[in-house]
Amino acid sequence: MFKKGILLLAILVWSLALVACGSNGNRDTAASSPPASPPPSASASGESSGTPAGEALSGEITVWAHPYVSEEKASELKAFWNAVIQDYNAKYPNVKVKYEEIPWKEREQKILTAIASGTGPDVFYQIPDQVPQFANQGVLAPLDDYLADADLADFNEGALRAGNFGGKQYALPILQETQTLIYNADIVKAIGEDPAKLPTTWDEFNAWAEKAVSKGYYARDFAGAEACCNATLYPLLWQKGGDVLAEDGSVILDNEAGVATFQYIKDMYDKKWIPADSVSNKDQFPEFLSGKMMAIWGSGYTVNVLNEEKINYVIGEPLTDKVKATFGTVGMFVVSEKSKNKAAAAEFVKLLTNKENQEAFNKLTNYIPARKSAGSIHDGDEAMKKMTEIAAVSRPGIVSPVARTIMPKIQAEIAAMLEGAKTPQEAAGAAAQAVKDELAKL
Amino acid sequence: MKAYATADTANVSAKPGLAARLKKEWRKNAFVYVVLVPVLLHFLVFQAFPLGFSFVLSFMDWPIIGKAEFAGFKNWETFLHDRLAWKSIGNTLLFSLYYILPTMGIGLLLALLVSVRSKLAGFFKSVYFVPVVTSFVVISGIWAWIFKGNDTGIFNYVLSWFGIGPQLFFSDSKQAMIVLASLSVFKVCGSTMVYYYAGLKSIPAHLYEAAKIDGASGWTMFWRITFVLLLPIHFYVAIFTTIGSFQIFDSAFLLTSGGPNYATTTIVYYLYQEGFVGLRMGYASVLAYVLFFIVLILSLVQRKFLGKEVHY
Repeated sequence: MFKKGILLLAILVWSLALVACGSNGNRDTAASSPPASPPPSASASGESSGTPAGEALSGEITVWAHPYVSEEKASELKAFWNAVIQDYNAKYPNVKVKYEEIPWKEREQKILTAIASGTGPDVFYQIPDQVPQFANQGVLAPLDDYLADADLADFNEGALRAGNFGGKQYALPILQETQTLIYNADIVKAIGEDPAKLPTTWDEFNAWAEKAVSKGYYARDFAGAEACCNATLYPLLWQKGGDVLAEDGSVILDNEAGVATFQYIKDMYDKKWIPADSVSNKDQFPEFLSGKMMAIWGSGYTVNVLNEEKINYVIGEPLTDKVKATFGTVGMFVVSEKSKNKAAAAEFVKLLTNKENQEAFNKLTNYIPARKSAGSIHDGDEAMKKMTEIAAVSRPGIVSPVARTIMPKIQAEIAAMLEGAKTPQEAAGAAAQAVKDELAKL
Repeated sequence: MKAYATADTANVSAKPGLAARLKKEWRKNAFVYVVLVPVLLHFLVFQAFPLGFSFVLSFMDWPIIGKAEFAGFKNWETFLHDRLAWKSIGNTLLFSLYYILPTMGIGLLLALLVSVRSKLAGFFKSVYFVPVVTSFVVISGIWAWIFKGNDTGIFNYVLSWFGIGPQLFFSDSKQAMIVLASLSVFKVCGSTMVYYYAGLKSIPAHLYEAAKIDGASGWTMFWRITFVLLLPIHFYVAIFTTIGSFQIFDSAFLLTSGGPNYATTTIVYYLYQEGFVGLRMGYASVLAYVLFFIVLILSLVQRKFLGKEVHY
């Protein structure tokens, strides 16, 4: 009898546990789902017409975005999203928008697994080197059919190009972030130079670098590990007139400009312009903050920190050897190919990236708007105004499905070169071969 | 006892049907099965299914987000010619070399230290155990700070007292793996200390008393009694440190990104890169199986040589 009692008790506990799990799940669903499922025909009719009327769209779309601001401004960001959703619903009252904030950490894996399991978002955020990879795998829906009424000419050309792959527009940009050398004005004075006349060419910078090293400073940073290659190799490569891939897709990393760029990096290392641990360092900002380094490769975020730390800084122009160029990332919103409501999702992306929303979003997050008409929001802020100007010569990295996978391979070859295991010629050749191998795996 | 024997014989001779046997088993052990259900479910969903699924995946091209296509033995063939995969296995073996024996040795040493009867033994036990319960991310941050590869690094500052110039540590392909392994030794030796401490406490005191009467020195007692009778602990610690060493990922991910020049690319880090950055889950599954076979073979070898029973 006692044994049976225990058995019944165990079954009861398990049943309750299962019921509890079930009811939790139901409660979540009930809270987040629309009162009724959208009729499939409604979504289909919306998709078939290129520019659907507001009433034609119905159903639900899920939007995944990230915490673009610090904790202190989280409520303002939430208010921004509420306002966007409100505007959207004013135009499309029958579409329910479900917004979810996804932490930055491991966001890619979360998106991948969610999409793979069919529970992913309809609208989500991408950066330039993700778009070709995701588009190549058929994860992103081309937006061209929905852009007939969109003022694409108002977008900064480079930013818009970052969302284009294989001639199709997969993403609309909302923000830009550009990177350049930022100088410690006190060190510039200490080496006998004028912070108002910063170097604009490699030759001018090289002369300053020699002086900085002779006075016991590092000339600049070179975070060889994490930041490779968008913040290290690529800007130098472009400035030298080279690139990883030519217009026709062939690998040109080991051409004359490529080898010369590898040689320049090796020279910087050997002459101690950059710290000895640049081989695999992830972050040399502490050296800059502690006044040991003349220039740091940075962005608007760096500027914020320098303001907080009360460092006397000056933002430099992107250097030119043959070409004036730098790296700048672009934040974009895309529509999932698996979305059951693509038309509604595309309309949301269009509204989210319009002039008014770009102004509000970038004012709050301190990024650069990706629309020309919104470009004046930082006019009162000299540093951000400068960054906005620099955005005009920014490139969004390498636009290729292998953009992300080639970086650690190129990084390894640069490390081998800096360690002396390979000459610049050999390292550039091996890096180019690694890029070819990755392309062959597609 | 006799009654049981008779009943069993009767059962065997009668050979009841499967249904009857199941019914009897259920009546006898129903509670056990009910309690086991969640554990078995967990095992099936999170262990057995992924094990089988990844084996199937190793014959597929599956980019997670696209369509899976049957690839035959292509992924397995790729592994045979993949220079980086073999280098990552070599790196992992090197890591094991730097990690397993020091973790065992220091763990045993710490256990001997905290076994000394002292008021401070409890305090030191906690101190040595702190790294075990501290987040790997935090300890990695501390390690990056201590072993910064220029003259601002703390360890380089200490070396300068002895006239040794700044070392590159994580930026030197010959030193990076040693520094990574030392981080893992620091993190794990508190755990091995606990196992050894438990082992030390289970050695009967009369063996030491007898040895003392025979005039054995402390050194002899350690090697002839303590070390030998700790054999089951050596075996267990060797197994879990070996498995741990082959699964090393976090420190390479957090501190070196597998560099410089692939010097710290371990098999799991390479697997992660192939699977989640390169989106080649089929090939990543092959690497996972290779890792599985290596760990299985090593465990069997260790069991053969270390897994002897010890009689006190």
